[in-house]
Amino acid sequence: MSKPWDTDLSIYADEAALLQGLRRRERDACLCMLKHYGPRLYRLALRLAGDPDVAEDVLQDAFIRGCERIDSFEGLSSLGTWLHRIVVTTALMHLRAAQSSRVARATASDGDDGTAFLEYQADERDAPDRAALSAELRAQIEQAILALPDALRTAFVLRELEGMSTAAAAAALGVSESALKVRLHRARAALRDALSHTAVEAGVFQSGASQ
Amino acid sequence: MSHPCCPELLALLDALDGQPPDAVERAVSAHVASCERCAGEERHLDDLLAAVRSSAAPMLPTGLEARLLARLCPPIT
Ligand SMILES: [Zn+2]
Repeated sequence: MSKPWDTDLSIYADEAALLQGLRRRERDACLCMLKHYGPRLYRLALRLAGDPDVAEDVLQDAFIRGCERIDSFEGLSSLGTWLHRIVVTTALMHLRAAQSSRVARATASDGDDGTAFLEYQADERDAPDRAALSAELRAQIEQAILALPDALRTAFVLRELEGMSTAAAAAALGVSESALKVRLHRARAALRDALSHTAVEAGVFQSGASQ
Repeated sequence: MSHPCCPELLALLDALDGQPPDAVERAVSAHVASCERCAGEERHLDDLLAAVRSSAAPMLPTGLEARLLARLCPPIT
């Protein structure tokens, strides 16, 4: 039985065409966007949020915000990078909201677009799996990252996995650069501790293993 | 062989908890730069992270794509 979303997506082979479709609110364009960017953006949302349910909310909010603003997307970055920034902003908003509701005192000031500080280029290429890192080991690492406290995890993900500069990551999190570096030290120490038992099989990490 | 994180580093992080970030950062960086054990562990972590950075994102959890699509583009009825 063919599902309603089994659609030929080749009509949006390039980004300009996809963007046009999104601006016309075409369902196929929506689906193409989800298929093309969904997995990377979900992984980003999960790493930042640290929880699958929150990650789903983040992703949904981010896509809604993206679709609402698609007409104002100026194409200065690629669509993927633009969506990426929206996910980061949305995830940090969710975390701040959860934190402030924990202290029962909302200091909501998230009216702005909030993406201006995210001046970094997201790496959108789906890099080939360079290392034959086993799925099990990868899951262990992801799990160890998710287990970090919010403050350490967000710092670590933005700086170490997303490749933001120290300054940009610090600005995104609203802390000083020294404070960010301390969070990174703490995050790395916690990860070293959690992952110390992982054996690195010989040959797995030949750098730049492209024949 | 398996071993936990460098105990000297952990003790240092504990001892400096609550101190101004500048001072903590300097002290911790200095330790990591001069500690052989930390060097090895940092390398091990960097190796793991390099592989994680270059890994492709897994598929979306079951049903998520359909839920997102329904939310973003409600079917016209
Ligand atoms: Zn050490």
